[in-house]
Amino acid sequence: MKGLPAYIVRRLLFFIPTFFAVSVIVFSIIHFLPGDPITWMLVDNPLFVSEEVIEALTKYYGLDKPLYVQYFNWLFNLVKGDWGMSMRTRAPVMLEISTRYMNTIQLAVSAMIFSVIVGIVAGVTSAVRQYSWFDRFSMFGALLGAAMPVYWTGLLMLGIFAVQFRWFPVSGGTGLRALVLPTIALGMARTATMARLTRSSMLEVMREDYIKTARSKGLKERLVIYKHALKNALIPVVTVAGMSFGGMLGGTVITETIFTRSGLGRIAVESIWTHDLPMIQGVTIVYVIIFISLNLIIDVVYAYIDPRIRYG
Amino acid sequence: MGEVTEEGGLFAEEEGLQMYQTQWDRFKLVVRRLWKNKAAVLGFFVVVFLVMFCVLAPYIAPYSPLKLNIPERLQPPSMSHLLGTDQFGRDILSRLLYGGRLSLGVGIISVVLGLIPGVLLGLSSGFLRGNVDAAIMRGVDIMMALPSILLALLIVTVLGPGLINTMIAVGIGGIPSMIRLVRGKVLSIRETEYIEAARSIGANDWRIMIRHILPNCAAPIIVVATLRLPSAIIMAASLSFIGLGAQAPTPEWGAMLASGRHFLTTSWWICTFPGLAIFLAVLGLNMFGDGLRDALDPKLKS
Repeated sequence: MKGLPAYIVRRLLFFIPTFFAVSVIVFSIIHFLPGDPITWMLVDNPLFVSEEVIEALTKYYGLDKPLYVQYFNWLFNLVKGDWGMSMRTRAPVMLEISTRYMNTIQLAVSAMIFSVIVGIVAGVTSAVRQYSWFDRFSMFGALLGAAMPVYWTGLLMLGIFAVQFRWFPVSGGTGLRALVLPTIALGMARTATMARLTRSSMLEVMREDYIKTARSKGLKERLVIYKHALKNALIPVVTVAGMSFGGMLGGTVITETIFTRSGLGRIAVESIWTHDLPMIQGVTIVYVIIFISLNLIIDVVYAYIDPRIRYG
Repeated sequence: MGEVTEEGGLFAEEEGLQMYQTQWDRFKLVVRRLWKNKAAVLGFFVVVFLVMFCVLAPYIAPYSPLKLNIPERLQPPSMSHLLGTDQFGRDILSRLLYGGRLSLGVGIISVVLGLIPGVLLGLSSGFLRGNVDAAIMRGVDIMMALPSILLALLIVTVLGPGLINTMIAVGIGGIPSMIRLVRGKVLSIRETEYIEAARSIGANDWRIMIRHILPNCAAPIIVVATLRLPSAIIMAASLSFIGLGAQAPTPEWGAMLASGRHFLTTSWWICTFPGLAIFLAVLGLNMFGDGLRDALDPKLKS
């Protein structure tokens, strides 16, 4: 195999050691916790604490076995799909996660798409009409937008568009309507950096010789901009977009809390509050799997867009 | 005849003096470039004003940040409470002033906490190479396989909620990117002639790392640390926002936003002003940091 397929295979193989390393970390959280894990889990349920309960739970979680046995049991069950029971909801962790993870991916991806599209359009328009009112206005907006933390943007938008104007649901909800405000809140800061980056990259490319050549050939300005300049200007933009996906995914933790959307982020926060250890582990693993897989996809897209990339 | 030393070559004292002058000149040059950058100057003053207000909080805050005053709860901004009161009747302006000491302080300390191990590990990774480098870089890869807020959440889970643990969590989150930056810089510096010169007159590894390589990494380190500050402030406040950082009734900007969420429908001012404070701090630091980058190390742009 050569080229792109080999590259994909190699990236997939790289997935395995990373996953193992992360699984060790997530597993060992149990042993880093202050005190022993059982008392930590029962901290919110003092009524349940008794010798028998502790003994039963120790047995249930296999905490009486040697560490490496515990790890491999845990990993084996993980692969098998048995992720344990949530302490809080008493439902299987797998069930809780599998019914909600799509909401999180949906939010992260739509925020990403929003910021890439709006950022690139604003950036290109600004670069093409450098120093115009549009350029000044959008770059000023980008400066402000990059400084807006998602929790503030989210709260302001909730206050204005959901509470005052009642255009959107205040909390929860499914479907596109409920996705609009969270997408903008989460995507805002990234949109701003995308716009600034696209503008500067575009301005740089427009000074290149091949753009002069294209113009002197008598090509229409539109063609020069969109066919010759934009294609090259987008390469650093795609790189940054790819790198920022982790931030986007992490941002869902806060965004879901603000908009009371159901999803992995909410589960993560709630399970930390309620000392729901199996859930914390499950959510972390899923976040990492999503994160690594999407990075893989982005790398492949990147290799496809820029043929100069070495598949290494 | 003068001695051959690593720093100055022949005529060490004279050379030393000249080096001092060039360093000073370089500093003046950076300040001059910064001063010409209007946005950077504006950002600098925004930050200085915010810090000044927060430092002077005990002298200028009109009320106690913690004193409950139930009869005056949920009051809109007025002459007696310039930014209104919260659900417990506490003066929001006073809480903002005191809260800034925590929010800004936590940001600064966490950046420093991440900076020191990041720089040391990056230096060793790039300079020693081999197994050390491989081990450190695998660690970086693994840390980067977790979104940074999730990493922070896990650390706070293990350490327990609270501001000090927030600082540690946010600080650790900044280590991998700092390692990468310093390592990259070291890899290019270690091939330069002046490092070879230092080595040829018998300077040991430690000395070369600290005296020759580190100073030459200083510019990008300063720039990246400055630009990391606003995101550290945002991250620390977000941990408080979800209840894992500052605990009630501590006035902290993120925690204030969180407690005001429930009054969004009736009392807009509770959420608006703490957010505005974070926004201004981040905006100012971004503007100043961008300017600093252009003045110190324009190559870092992009």
